[in-house]
Amino acid sequence: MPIDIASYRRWEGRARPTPLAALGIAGTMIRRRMKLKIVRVIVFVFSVVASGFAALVFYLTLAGRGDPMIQNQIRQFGFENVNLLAILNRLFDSVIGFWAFLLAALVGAPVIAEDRRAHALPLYFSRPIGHLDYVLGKAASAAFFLALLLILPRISMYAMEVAFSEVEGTAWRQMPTLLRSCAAGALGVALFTSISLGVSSLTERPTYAALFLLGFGVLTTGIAHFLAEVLDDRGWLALSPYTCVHRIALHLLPVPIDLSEDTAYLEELGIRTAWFGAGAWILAGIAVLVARVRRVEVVT
Amino acid sequence: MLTIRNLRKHFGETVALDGVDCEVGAGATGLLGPNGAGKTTLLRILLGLLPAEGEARVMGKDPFREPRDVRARIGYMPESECAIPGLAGVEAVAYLGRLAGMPRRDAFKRAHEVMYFVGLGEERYREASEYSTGMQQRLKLAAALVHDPELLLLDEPTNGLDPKGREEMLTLLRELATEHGKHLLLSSHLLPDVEYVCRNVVMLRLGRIVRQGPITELTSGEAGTYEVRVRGDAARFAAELHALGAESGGAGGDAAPLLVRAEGTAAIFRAAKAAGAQVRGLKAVRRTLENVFLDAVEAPRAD
Repeated sequence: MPIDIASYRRWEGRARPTPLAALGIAGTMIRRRMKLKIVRVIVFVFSVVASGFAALVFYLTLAGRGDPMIQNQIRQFGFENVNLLAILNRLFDSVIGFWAFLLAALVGAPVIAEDRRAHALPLYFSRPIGHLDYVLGKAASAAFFLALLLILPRISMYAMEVAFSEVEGTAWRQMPTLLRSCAAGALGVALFTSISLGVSSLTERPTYAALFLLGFGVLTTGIAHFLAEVLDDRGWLALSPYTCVHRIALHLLPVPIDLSEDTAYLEELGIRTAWFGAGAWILAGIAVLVARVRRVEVVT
Repeated sequence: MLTIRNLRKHFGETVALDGVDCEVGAGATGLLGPNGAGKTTLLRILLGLLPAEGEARVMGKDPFREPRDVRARIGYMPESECAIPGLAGVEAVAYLGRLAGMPRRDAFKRAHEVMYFVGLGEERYREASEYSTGMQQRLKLAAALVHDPELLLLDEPTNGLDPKGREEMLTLLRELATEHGKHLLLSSHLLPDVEYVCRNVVMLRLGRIVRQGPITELTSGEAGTYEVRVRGDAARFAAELHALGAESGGAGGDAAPLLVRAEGTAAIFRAAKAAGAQVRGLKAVRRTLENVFLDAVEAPRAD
């Protein structure tokens, strides 16, 4: 075996800087996840949902081109002269919560648990990478899929409106809506990534981690709504991570009318409480993750 | 290759390393010690995975301050069964090569080569988690070799292998040390493994180094000690040896040779002539690595 070929030595002793090492981990993890049929199915199903929203934008945008039938339907709903993109983004946020938990359970919850189960951490940490590279790499792989779910559809809705609107300057006019909706999506990505990785670091069984995350989502949402109703205080809604993100998204995308009836109820949750809740959940996920990964390295 | 000065490591109340001092030079060196002696802890400290008191240098670099630079230049084969889940053998090795800083294309090319080198060429596209214990050990060796490090830290590389697999693994390791110029630090509690692969040895006991040096020196025994087989009156032969100022013990027959401590062999032949005995066998005593190891680990501690 030509083990001593000089060309192999050109990288010797040269460790990669942190972002590059993390990207290497993320890239491999994404390719691995895409091999799983269930992930491909979820991504496909969700592309259909996202396409549906994009098609809705396409349909409603055509109204501006003078189709009398569509214009008549819009008039019936009272949507004239309102920001349709913002309304549809709000509708999107109200249907996406469950899917985000499901995807996080599939692509985020197993990532560290399966490494612990396979005792892979000594292999990782015998390379010139640090804890930060490892955690960032794993987080980036989960965040990639969550971004497909939570951010990409918003961009496609925007692109659809820009492409089919007859009104000049739509791209520029709707840019703030796009940025605000993407910021809401990014907050969701950060929240689901940190919670799912935190949960993942607690166990060596990927299935348990996934079930725990789904249970966590159901329980926190159920308890939050129960307490908010029983105690008649909407501040309790902040116990539910996705409710916080949803509330912040509503705040970022204000509209005079809405397609969803739930939003009025959600808007009773104070925006500061929602920011506090979302931030606390993100930090809690990161804290668990950091504490567990540091400890795991010593134990393994 | 390695310089260690007064290295100390505690896990709570437990002392894992208690003032380790040693120099490990080029070539293959065995790190011997019973379970719990601190071998794995020492390897992890050298990798920069665990903080410790004292000083350590790996190829001139400090593993506490420059852990990445150290790890980029060494290959580590962990003791436990471990794999990157969900990847085929060659993918896992290439992935670990990339994490060591190799470009993607080179990492894959190199991964194929090392998989053939360790004897997994035909199995390289199988998922690594499906490998048998022996194959997992080879895979770990491939992963340690993929970035062509100068120094390999091998933690119990023959763990869980059947006799044939063990022999093949040891042959690979010896080949790496003798033909490919790799420097090895082989941690094991199996003396024959270390004796087969290494020229030097460091013995650890309860976190302290109790012996170190070239195996040939450690096993050379004491000068002037001989094993003698005689035919004739062994008791008279022993008495004649005493008269000549030599010490002896044992029966002296074929089954239990006489152990004689004398300055040179002339006194033995003179005593045999005086006793009317015939010397049928005479050889200088060499100690086995096992003798040295047992003496080292069973001797009471100085403190």
